[in-house]
Amino acid sequence: MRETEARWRLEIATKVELFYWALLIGYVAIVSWWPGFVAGWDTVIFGAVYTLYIPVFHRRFMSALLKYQPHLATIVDELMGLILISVIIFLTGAWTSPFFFLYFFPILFSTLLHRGLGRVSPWWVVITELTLLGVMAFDAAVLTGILSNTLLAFINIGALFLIAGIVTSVLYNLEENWRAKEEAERAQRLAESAADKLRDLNALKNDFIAVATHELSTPITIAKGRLSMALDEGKIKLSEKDRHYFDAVTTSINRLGALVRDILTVSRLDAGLVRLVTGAYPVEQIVKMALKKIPADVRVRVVHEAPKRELPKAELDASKTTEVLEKVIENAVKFTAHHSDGKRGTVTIRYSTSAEHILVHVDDQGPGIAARDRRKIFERFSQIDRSRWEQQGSGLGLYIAKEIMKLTKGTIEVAEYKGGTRFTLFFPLAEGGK
Amino acid sequence: MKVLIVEDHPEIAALYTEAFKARGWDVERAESGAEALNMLAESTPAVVVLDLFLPRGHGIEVLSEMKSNPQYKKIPVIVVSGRLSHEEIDAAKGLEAEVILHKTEITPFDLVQTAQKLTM
Repeated sequence: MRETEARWRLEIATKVELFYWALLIGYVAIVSWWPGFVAGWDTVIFGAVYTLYIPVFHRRFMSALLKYQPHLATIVDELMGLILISVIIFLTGAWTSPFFFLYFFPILFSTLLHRGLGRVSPWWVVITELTLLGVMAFDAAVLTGILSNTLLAFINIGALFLIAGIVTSVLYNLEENWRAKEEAERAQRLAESAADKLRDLNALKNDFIAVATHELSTPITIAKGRLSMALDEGKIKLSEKDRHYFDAVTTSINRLGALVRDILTVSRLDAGLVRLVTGAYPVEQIVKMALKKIPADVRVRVVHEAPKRELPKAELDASKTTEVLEKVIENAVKFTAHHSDGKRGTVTIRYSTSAEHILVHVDDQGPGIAARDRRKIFERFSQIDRSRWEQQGSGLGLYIAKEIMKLTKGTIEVAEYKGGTRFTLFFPLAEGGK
Repeated sequence: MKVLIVEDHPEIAALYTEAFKARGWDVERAESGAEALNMLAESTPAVVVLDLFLPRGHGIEVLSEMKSNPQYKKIPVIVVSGRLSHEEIDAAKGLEAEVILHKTEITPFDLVQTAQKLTM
């Protein structure tokens, strides 16, 4: 990186010099016809040779030197510049000029320029500018010395300023582009390696979750199994209080089981491993299948209202949609039961249609959800009312429902309904309708 | 009535065995996929309870073998797994397993009840 940059900077420096010499030689060539110009063709030829030398040999020589003797490279470069400029001065007779001292400026600035280029420093642009100014001052000195014609010198200084400005801005842009490109590439490399790492980590996480959930389900199965068998076979005589305790244990084990199953599902959804097996199905049948899996709760009556007319089929994945409906209906039953206050609550499932969807509404008589919390309930472990979801469920059910609906190009929405909550599931119509 | 329980975890196998026996079933046990297929060749159970993650032969392979063999095709299979993701559910469904359950969602007696319904 350091070497590439140094090389590139050397290239820029060479271009600056090349430009300077081309300008000077061209300039000298033009003014050779000016009456009274003392420099002969030898100056022009020398300048031309030097101009050719820079791009053809100097760069290669300096590159090689930079590779093996980087410190020496700068010194050699400076020395060569010094010698060559001195030859020009001698040939043009500029040393007789009263402005001869200006000669030292380009040398000074050129040295600074090379040092600047050797480093990663944005101020090299300023140095380039100063160098060019120094070069121009030197030109002016040469011209004044040779021609004693300040007017001509100043006119040409104006032109040189203009060209110097253009070149500097071009070089500056080159530098900026180069930097931007380098940085973009570096950022891309970093992003790619970070993405690779994340992918690996994610795969690791998913594997871990898959194994962990499997390992966790064994003790849960045993605890749940043993407890249920003991209670079922009447091996344990229970007082009302004990029954209450055991119910709490059963509920907790069930919740743990649900959590383990849901975490596995979420990890599969996150990893994009859930594949769809879609087809055209009557939604009503899917709802019936889901209802069969809902555990009965004496506190809640589930009413499945038949659609007023036959519904067209929907495009869905039967097994995953059953899971979605199960989760939504179970949620409705749970909150209706907790809110029943001794009275029997009702969960009603209704249908309607729109131009593109079949809508299934699940209406409960639970406590309702405040408008500000409605979006949150579809988040993982949504904690709009911690005490409520902690009683049962995993806190992932509605998140899973939303994600699966999204996969099947459906949606799920929540709204207030007669003091309770209405969940509406939108299923896209199957192609060809019925 | 006889049930073949294919389960490698001894405690869970014992749990299911006790529940089936308590309801008057004969129980056979296999601890690996290969063993399950051997036992099927010897005698035909009324129901198979099949775990998926087994040593020597994944449960899905056993299921596939059963459902592609006309001799065993009609034996109902209850897939009971502790690691039941959508991939496994889809695979088991595709092979026409009669019931697919996660271990943690049922009690041993629920399992017996499910088996009874399938053999009715």
